[in-house]
Parts: sequence; structure tokens; C-alpha cells
Amino acid sequence: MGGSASQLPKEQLAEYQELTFLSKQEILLAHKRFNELTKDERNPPTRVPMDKILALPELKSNPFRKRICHVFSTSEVKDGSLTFEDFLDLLSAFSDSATLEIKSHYAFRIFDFDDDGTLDGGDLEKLVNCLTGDTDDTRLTQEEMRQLITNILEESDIDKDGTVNLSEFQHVISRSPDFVSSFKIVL
Amino acid sequence: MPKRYGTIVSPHKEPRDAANRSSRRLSGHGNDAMLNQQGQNDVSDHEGGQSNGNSTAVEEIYLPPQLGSSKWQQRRGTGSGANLDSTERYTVDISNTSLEVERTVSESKKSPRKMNLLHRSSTALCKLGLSEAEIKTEIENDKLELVRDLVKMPRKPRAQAIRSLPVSCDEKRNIRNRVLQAKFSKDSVKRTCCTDCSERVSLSLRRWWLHVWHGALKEIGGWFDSAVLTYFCFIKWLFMFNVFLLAFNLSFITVPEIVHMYNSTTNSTFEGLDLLTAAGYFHKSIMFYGGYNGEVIKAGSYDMQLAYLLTMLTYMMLCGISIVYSLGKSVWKNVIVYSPATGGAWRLLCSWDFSILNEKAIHSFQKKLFIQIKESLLDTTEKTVLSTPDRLRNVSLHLAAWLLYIGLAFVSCAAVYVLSTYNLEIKVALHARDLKSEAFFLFLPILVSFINLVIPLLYAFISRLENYENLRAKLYAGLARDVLLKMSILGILCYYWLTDVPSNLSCWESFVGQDVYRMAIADFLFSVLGCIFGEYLGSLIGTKCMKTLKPPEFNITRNVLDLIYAQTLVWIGVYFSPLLPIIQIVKLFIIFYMKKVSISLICRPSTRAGLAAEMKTAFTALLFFPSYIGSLFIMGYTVWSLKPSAHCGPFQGLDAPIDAVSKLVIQGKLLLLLLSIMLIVLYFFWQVVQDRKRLISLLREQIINEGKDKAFLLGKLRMAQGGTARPQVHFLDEGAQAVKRPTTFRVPQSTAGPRGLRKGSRVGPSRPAAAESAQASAPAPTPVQPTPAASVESPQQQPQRASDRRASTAAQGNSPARSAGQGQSPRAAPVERQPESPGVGKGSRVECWVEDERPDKQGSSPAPPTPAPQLAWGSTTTTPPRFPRLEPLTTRGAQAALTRLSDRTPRPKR
Repeated sequence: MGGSASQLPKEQLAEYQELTFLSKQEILLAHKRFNELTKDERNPPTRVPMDKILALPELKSNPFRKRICHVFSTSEVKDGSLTFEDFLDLLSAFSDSATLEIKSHYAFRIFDFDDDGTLDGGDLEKLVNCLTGDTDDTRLTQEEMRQLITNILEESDIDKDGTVNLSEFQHVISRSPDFVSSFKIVL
Repeated sequence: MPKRYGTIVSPHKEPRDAANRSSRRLSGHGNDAMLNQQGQNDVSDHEGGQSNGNSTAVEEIYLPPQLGSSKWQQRRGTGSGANLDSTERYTVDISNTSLEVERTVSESKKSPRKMNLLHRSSTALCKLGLSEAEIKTEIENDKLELVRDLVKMPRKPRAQAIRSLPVSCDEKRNIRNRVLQAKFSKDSVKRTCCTDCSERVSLSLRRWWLHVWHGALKEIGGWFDSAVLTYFCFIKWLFMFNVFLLAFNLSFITVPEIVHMYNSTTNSTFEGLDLLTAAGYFHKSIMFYGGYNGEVIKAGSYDMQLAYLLTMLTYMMLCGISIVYSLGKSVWKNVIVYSPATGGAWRLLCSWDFSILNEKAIHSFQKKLFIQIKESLLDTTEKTVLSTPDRLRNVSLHLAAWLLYIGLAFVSCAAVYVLSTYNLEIKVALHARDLKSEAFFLFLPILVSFINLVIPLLYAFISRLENYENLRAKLYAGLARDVLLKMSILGILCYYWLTDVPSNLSCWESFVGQDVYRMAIADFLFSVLGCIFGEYLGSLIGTKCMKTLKPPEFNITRNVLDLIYAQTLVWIGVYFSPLLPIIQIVKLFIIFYMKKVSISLICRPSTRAGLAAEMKTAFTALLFFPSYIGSLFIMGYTVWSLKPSAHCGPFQGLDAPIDAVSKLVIQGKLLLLLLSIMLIVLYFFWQVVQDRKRLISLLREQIINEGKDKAFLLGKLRMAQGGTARPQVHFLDEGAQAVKRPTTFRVPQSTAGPRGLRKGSRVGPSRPAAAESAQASAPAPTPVQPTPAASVESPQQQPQRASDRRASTAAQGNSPARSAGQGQSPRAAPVERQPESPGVGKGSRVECWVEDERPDKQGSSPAPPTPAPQLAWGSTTTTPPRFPRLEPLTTRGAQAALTRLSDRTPRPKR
């Protein structure tokens, strides 16, 4: 499994380059890292289970790691497992050169914890908990949380339906200039 | 009734669910089981027939609660053609105001919309209760359309557009392959060798750029947030500047000089001290201006005078362009979109840094966010308003502090000037080599560096007494006073170099070069010492000895200002000492790693979010304005107005160095011209920014109006549901029954008020007429036979519906509006055709009201070609908008409609 990077055929590499925001080096590196995850198995499966992906140092401590896996997984059984292409999709969306649109789209899906297509109160609460860490000293009180969610909705819920949808989210994101630089995972 | 009420609430969720599902399925992230379920759900919904009809009807009428589903509505309206025409009438289609933000390359303007269509397409169909196969065909149609659009694009934007599709790799490959198939079956575009080559070069350049210090930057990003990273990226950027500068100078000035060197004999011996003072051995070396001899080389084929001048000027120009470009870009990104009134909470929520890997850093980041969220909550709950005496006290404090700052800066300038003139006296008196007096020259740079190190600390101390209202003001005030200090010192030095020195010394350029060299060296040493003593020791003391004294924070602002100062020195000095960039390169390289170690030791990121993007803009602006423009001015002054020394350097015997060029170039103020061009470019950017700001405020207003409008309509609907007086919606039902299409809109008639009846009678004929005409325009004109008992059409009719829809979709695909790439809904046209409804905007949202009052709308098909939309983008804006694609004109329409409505009925509070 040593020269795993050379296993990626040239045409496929070119194709990935065209389909993702990644450069050649990044794709090769991703391929190498991905193969390392499966190297101890005799027949490397095309899908790497979620817990292995989560063991990557890039995701290990990320509070959104499970959501990230679920969003990018194309698995039928929704177990968050990733194929190499899913993995590339993930890296592409988190890469430097990805557009704001792509980034905000995936950010929305990552933050949409219940997968219902909108960020409602529950999603926002989970999001805030993820952001502040779920320890006792950094948890907001019920009252604070309620107030915060009200503020958030006031700020972004343009049509006043009590939830934030993708367009509203993208609108908000477009006003947070730091977002693009912080929505980034580098291998 | 309760059931119906339930449906009116729940539908808000419904389309989104469906949209989500469809997009997920489409993007390959969902599964077919879900699809099946969806399909069945819908079918069963509709098969519920009469008994279930009411709820279905309500569902059909419901007003899209949010903008996201507006696309769904649009899709439904445009894509599903005739059969849906009647439905369409009641939807509040605010597709024109969809907040779709176009971020992809400008040429691929159309693609995002397509993308979204692709995404949500099946929603509408799910709603219609189509089977899985039909949904698939519909998606296929969308894809076809998308592919068709993509085929029309040039290669590069197309690749970008495909890349930007938010779907999985597999799906993207699929689309790309189809595009390529279509493309190459039509015409195979040959890629020229040239484009291939240029692409490869640009790619490899970019890759190289990306990979300098890649690992280190990633590591830093893992520890800290992006604000700290900004500093390191800034170092990287400056590093590149200097590498290019050095390459320029080496290849055009130094190497030719070495090749043509006629006497490499220097009469001085090398002393260790020379490395610091650059005097003696280095005095006549190629390190400095004096080492270059224009006369001699001119005899050969290489014109040293020209080379020297043009290299400097070209480099400065390139530098300027690069800075202006990145400044424009970051201003564009950050300043435009920033509006202080909003974004508090969301700014925090979106600020999670995914690149942070370190566990400890993550915890501290979470803590920081927690504190900030709490603060933002406090901010919103209680805003303290300062009383007048308090404010007066604040203002006087600021005034006093600033007087102190300026006084300190003045004193330091005076000290520097006195010492420098004293230096000059020694230099003039100096005839033979004297190490002692050469060592004395070091005092000036040491003093300057000392001032640069200590006075900002003093400033910071004083500023603690000041009371700033917010973080931003504090940050910028700190920036301003530090810049003031540094630039006034540089200013006084430049004055000394350009007035006192030339009049007193014979080879003054070299002396100035040496002075700058000494400054750079001293600055370097001081920053290293400052790093060791200030940061290492500080953190040691802070962590080990005195726990109360926390380790020092990493002050990004001060560090960046130091970098800018050093870069300014290089730009000023490069004319007098062409190899000065070497010092800077070495310095930046060492500082990069020193700071990296230092921050990893300190590991105490600032407790506040750093406003990273904004600071970056500010830093770039500072690098441009006082620093770059200042050094350009000084270089220009030297070249144009100062008499070069008569006995050394390339410009011996000339009145001014520019005379060497003016032989070639017409006596135009070349530099001035270029400078003014740059300023014009900057002004242009500024204007665009202003324009965008105005537009954004306009659009915001419009969005708010839309929201109000929708809420109002929703309220109406609810009123209608609740059986309150004067319901507005029930006329739909009346109308529908009048034209034998009673099934799709089944709203209880019992609650229909007199007003609704009146309206209904007016609107009645219009809908079916439109529907029929739409069918007539379709290739397979099969009039839909309404089935009174069932709320959905019979299965046999469904394929026809699909084909109708396809036809209309195709028609739209070719419509001029699409090819024009303007994002106005095709449905805007009917309104335009109605001269009888003046004052109504072109937004299709308004249309639902307008159309209701137009019984004789026979001629309008559901998908007529859209007239060229009247956009009101800012007049000076020539670039394609990167905004929410909204038509400002709709606002007026919305308001007009709103006022008309509110004239009739008091708006219900929501």
C-alpha cells in the first residue's frame, strides 16, 4: 500500500481536478490519507465507516464532525460513511477556492441537524451548544438561549416564519466576511 | 375545520421537506426509499378525493412562507405549465426577490439559478402527486436544461459552474460528461497549445504560492483563529513582494553590473562591524547605489541608467497594482457586505473556525464564543446611554490622550532629527576610516527602533485611561496612533535624507542607502529581541512566576504595523541600495518562524474575535496609503528633482536621474500618470462600493416589504380559514367552480364573504382562460377535463401534464430572457401587458392580485417570453452584480399593491 498515491489513474485525477476545487496535490494528498484509513484491511472497502473518518486529526475535535460526515455521505443507510469521492466533496467544499455559495450551502446542511431543510429553534439550539461546547460552565441558560434564538431569528428570518431557510441563511452568511476564511479544512 | 387549520399551518413545512428530500436525492445524498415514500404520500394525498380535497386545496393555495420556497413556486409556475396555471395564480411568487446570491464567475451568471432549479425541481412535482418515474423525467428535464445552458458557456466558466454545483462528485461527473458529449458532438473546440500552456503555468504558479509555508500555516490555523492567521499570511505576502523585488534587481541591475565590472577593487578592508554599519568595505560595493557605474556600462550594449530607473519604476508599479488589486478585492468582500446594524448574533454563529484542530484551542475558542454570545445578549437587552457629562468627560479624555500621543510623536521626531544631523556632521568631518565614528552611526537606527518599540507600549498604557465605546473604535484608534508615530518618524528621516544629506555629501545616495540598511538591521534585531524578551519572557513570567500576570496576548495590530514599517523602509531604500530586499527576506523568514514558536508558547489567543477580515482590509489599506504611496512619492522626488551625485553612481553628470529616461520617453510625467491611473482605479472601486451599498439598502427595504406583504397575505388566509369576515381567498373556489375546475382549490364556500364573492366573480373566467391558452400553446393540446369528484387528475393525464410541462420548459429555455441571463421570472410578462394596471410593478408577486382583477387575460400564456427586465443597478456599475438578484422595481410594485390593499382592508397584525 506504500505508493498509494500513484494508484489514482491520471484521467481520474484530471477529472477530479475539474470537478472539485482541489488542486492536483491536494487530491493526491487526500487519496493518500484516505488510503491510510483503510490500509490495515485486506480488501480495502470503497466506503470508510464514519468512526474512521472521525479519527482524522482534522476532524477529531471538531464539534460538527458527525454532521459533516452525514452531510457528505452518499451512503444509502445513512451511516455517515464516506467513499473517496465523498471525501473529495468534503475537502472541496472546505477548500480555499470553494465559492461562498458552495460553502454556505454545505454550512446550512451541516447546521440543519434534523435534516428538514430549515434551521428551526431546535437546530439553532444545537448549533449554539456545539459552538459553546457542551460543558457546564459554557452552557447558556434556558432564558439566554431563548433570547439568543429570538435575536437570531429577528436578524435573519426575513419572512417571519420562525425558521431560517437556505436563502435567508445565505443572505446572512454573505454579510459575515469571516465566514469564507473560517469555513476551511486543510489536509 | 381543525384539520384544515392544521394543514394551513403545516404546509409551511411541507415544501421545504420536499425540497430537501428532492435535493438530497438529486445530490445523491438521499435514497430512493425516501423518494418512493414521498411519491406515495402525494399520490395518496390526492387520491383521498373529495374527502381529502379540502386539505389538498388548502395546501395548494398556501402562500409560500419563505423565500426558499419561492424558487419552488417559481419552478412550479414555470415548469409545470398549463395544468398548474390556476394554482399559480394564488401563489405569492416572490421569485424575483429570491435571495439567491450569485458568487460564481460572472460569466456563468445563469448557472446558479439552474442549480437551484435542479435542486428544488421535484418539489413541485411531489406536491402534484406525480409518480416516481415522472419525477425522474422532470429531473431529467431540468438536467437537460442545465446541460444545455452549460454547453453554451465558454470552457472556463463552465468548469467553474459545474464545480460550483452543490451536488456530489458522481452527479457532477454525470452532468459534465453529458455537457461534454453535447459539446463535442456539435463542435469540437480545439484547445490551443497556448491556452494549455498558460493554464499550466498559472496553475503551477498558484500551486507554488499555495505551498509556501503551507504546513506551518495549517499548524497555526490549528491553534488560533483566522485573525492570527491573517498576520502570517501577511508575512507570506510581503515575503513574495520582496522575493520578486530581489529577483528584479538581481537580474536587471546587479548581474549586468557584475558582468561589466571594470574595477572590483575596494580600498577598504572588511571589518566585522561593517556588517552592521554597512560602511567601509560595503561603501562602494554593489550593495549600494555608489557601486553601480552607469557611464562605463553605457559604452557597451547595456544602458545601466535606463535599467536602473526602469527596474525600480516597473517594480513599484507592479507592487502598486498588486496592492490595489488585493485591496479592491478585500474591500469588495468585506466592506460592502458589512452593515453594522445587523449581524451580531449570526456573525458569531458563523464564526466557527473549522481549521482549528488543537483540542485546547477548540475549548478556548468555545469559551470565547460563549463569552461573546453572552455579551451580545447583554448588548441587546440593555444599551447604556451615556449622559452628557459622561460623554464630555470621554471626549476630553480622548482629546488629552491624543494630545499626549502627538506630543510624544513630536518629541521622538525631534530626537531623531537632532541625532541624524549630528550624524551628518560627523560624516562630513570624516575623511579616513574610523571605526569609532562609524559605530556612532548605529545610534540613530537604534534610537529609531527603540522609539518604535517603546512608544507604542506607552501609547497602549495611556489608552487604558481612555474609554472606548466599542471594540472597533478602540482597534482603529490604536492603529491610527501607531501609524502616526511610525510614519512621522519615517517622514522626518526622509526629510533629512532628501534635503540635508544631498547638499553636504559627495556620494550621498550611498550614505542614505547605508542609513536605511542600518535601520533595517536595527529593526530586525529589535524585533527579534522584542520577541524573545517581550513574548518569551513575558509568557514565562506570566505562566511560571506570577500567575496573576497573565501571559501577554499576541498583538496582531502592532506586529503587522512593524511589518509595514519594515516594508516601507525597504521601498524607500531600494533605490539607494538595490540589494536591500535580501535583508527583508531573511528577516521575514526568521520572523515567521520566531512568531510561530512564540505564539505556540504563549498560546493565549486574544479574548475577542479579531474581526479578521476587516483587519486584513485595514492592513492592506495601510500598506497602500502611507507606506506604498509615501515611498513612491519619495522615489519619485529623488528621481525627478534631486541632482544625483557627480562622482558616483549610474547617473553621474545628469541633472536628475529621470533625464536618462526622458531621452526615450516623451517628457511626460510617467509616474504621475501611472499614479493617477491607480488612484482612478481605486476611486472606481470606491464608487462601486458606494453603489452597492445604496443598492443593498434598497433591496433590504424591498425584502422587508415582501415579508410584510407575505405576512399580511398569510393573515388573510388565516382569517379566511377561521371563518372571519371578509375572507379574501375564497373567491378562488368560486372562480374555479365557475369554470368547471372545482377540484384543485377546495376552500369552504360557507365562509365566503360578499367581498370574496365579488372578487371571485371577477376573477373567475380569467384563470381557466389562461390555462386553456397555455394548453393551446403546448404541442399536445389536450384540454384538461376536470373531474368533479376527485381532487387530482386521473393517472392517464399525468404523462400529458409532464409533456406539457416539458414543452413549456423548453420554451422558456429558449426565451430571450434566459439567454439574456437576467433573473426575472418569466411570469412578469403578463403584468406588463396590462396597461390598465398602472403603478403596479413588474414583480410576479404582485401579479396574483393584479391578475385577479383582470378577467380578460386571454392572451397570456403561462410562460411567455420575458421582456428585458428593467434593472436599476447603480449607474456606474459595469460589473455584473454579485448580489441577491432582486429587481428593485418590484419594491414600488409591492408598495403600490400594499397600499391598495391596505386601503381596502386594515392589515391584520401578526
